[in-house]
Amino acid sequence: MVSMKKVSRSKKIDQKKGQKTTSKNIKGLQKSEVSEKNVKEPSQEITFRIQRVIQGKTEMRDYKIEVGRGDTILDCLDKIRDDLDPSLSFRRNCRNTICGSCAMTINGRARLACKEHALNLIDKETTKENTKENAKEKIITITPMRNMPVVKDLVNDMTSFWNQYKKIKPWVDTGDKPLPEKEFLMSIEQFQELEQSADCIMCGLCYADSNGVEAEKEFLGPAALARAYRLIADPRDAKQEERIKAVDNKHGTWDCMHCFYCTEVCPVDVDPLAQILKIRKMAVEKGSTKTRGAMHHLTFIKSVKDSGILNENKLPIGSIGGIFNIVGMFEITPVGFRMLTHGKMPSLIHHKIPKIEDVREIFNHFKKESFKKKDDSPVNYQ
Amino acid sequence: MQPKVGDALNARSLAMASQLGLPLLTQCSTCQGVFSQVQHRLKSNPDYLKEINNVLQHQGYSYNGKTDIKHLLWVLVNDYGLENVQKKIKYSLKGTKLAAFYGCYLLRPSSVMQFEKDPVHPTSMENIFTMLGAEPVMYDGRTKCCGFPISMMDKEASFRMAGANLLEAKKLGADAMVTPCPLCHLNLDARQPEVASFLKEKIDMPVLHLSQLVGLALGVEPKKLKLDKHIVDTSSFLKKFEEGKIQK
Ligand code: SF4
Ligand code: FES
Repeated sequence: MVSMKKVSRSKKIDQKKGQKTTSKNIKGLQKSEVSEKNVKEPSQEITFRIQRVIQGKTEMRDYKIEVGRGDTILDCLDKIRDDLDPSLSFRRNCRNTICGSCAMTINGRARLACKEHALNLIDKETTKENTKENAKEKIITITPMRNMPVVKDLVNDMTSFWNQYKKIKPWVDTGDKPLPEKEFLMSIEQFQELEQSADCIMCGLCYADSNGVEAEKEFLGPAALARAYRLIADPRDAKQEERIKAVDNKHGTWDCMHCFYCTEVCPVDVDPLAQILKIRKMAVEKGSTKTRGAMHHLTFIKSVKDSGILNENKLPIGSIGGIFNIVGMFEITPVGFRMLTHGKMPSLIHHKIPKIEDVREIFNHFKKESFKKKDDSPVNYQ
Repeated sequence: MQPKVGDALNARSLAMASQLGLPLLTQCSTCQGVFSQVQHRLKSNPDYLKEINNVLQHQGYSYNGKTDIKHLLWVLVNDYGLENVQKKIKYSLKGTKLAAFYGCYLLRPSSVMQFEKDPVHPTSMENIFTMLGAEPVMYDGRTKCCGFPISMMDKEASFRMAGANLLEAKKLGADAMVTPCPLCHLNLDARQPEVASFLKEKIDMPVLHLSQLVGLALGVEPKKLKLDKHIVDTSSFLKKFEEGKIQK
């Protein structure tokens, strides 16, 4: 582990960890495994390239420390602060992927510092700093979260994240529902429906790496929308319709780009993208067919049903609500014109694929089925 | 649409390929992503696969979950092998700087899309560039969204996304962007003039399909590769290519 002159807090933690191992050893648990691991794996010198704000100026600074297998990024940050630079600022609390405080950008991706093991990143990640030419030095880059202003070093001002979250009224509203004498009872199925979205620890990682948020600050963002789904699916809540309506618009579910970043970075597998798509689907099923998103979706389906393939000429027109939407037509005409003059316009004659009956049969089969029972399809990201 | 309908339609296409005993080649990140995800859902849930096959069966198809589905990029890197591509190269792309644009679905969800060793920092496109003699431009945007999926829902946000990626690559000196995804191409190339005027910026970034780039190095005529058909003029890039073009 780290060689240190003064006894620092991180050293105390190391000592505590040591004690824990000892008590395990006494119980005879994997004794040889633990000691062998320690012998086999020497610590490594790693450079942490950290974004700092020093006297109002943002700059990258390098800190070299010895890192052992099992040290998390948070352990390393503690060591740097304790031994090298007490002015380094970052948030942390539980050290255990529970509180969501230690969110930051590590090697270019939004992650929790207490969840990532430094040497695993060195082993697995092919950052440009770790290319062959730079291989002599082992570098991990740490910057604050994206999409939110920085207060200092790795500490973000998360106001915009919380403001978006508040907009969806993130509490259960029982409305006029008669209250039971004791508690509300929920079936296992009902609970399973909302369990995944209820796991959110509000760390903000999904918001930080969301391409939708990057492009449009008004976008509600993945965490707020996942929370909206959690309440829509809650049998105690009386505001399902209102909740769906409130997010079934441009800066609600339809600003989502399907970039998958939220699903990718979420440390507790909330899969916000899946929750967003569930709300979109519910909205369309409840008859909301006039949003651009719904029109695009429905035109797409109709084209596949009619001909077995996508009619690339009709899709943009259908998505804006037909040729009588004058404003919409102005929007898509330039691109259509450019494609035409560059010989890229898809053929105006749209053929059906052979055996189109097969395609229609598939549509009809599942249509009949959906009247029989609740849709139990696995989540489909398209 | 009922997700099952989409899965069944895709399973039908996959079954057709397996009837021929052939792997399925895609040249689009989105197609690859959709097919890979469908395959993943069906493979990991035998009951679901059976349910889908019940419908396909009376059309004469059966999907076993096993069809190999590969993107052109993956075939070049893994199946054909970069060393073998290198042997066929006629011209080096020396002197050009290229920015890869992967497209979301070729990389994410990484639980399904497992081609890159490190999905956060993919390397296959850059490895092709280096092999062809070009210099890769490393920028944040290369793994981001092009903005296409919301071009109909929120044009401004879509343009901001495309513009940010294009300008980042430009700032780092890219001569062209290269993408394995035709949908990204649409937003980055066909809509680039609108993106530029919306952002009030000069962009002029040529965007090539991966196949076109490899084609150039193999000695195919730019005209034959239809490099004159793109919306953004590719001649600035072609000029650089001609200047540095060294016969191998
Ligand atoms: S959804 Fe996941 S990533 Fe987003 S705030 Fe909640 S826990 Fe964090
Ligand atoms: S410190 Fe609580 S999640 Fe990392």
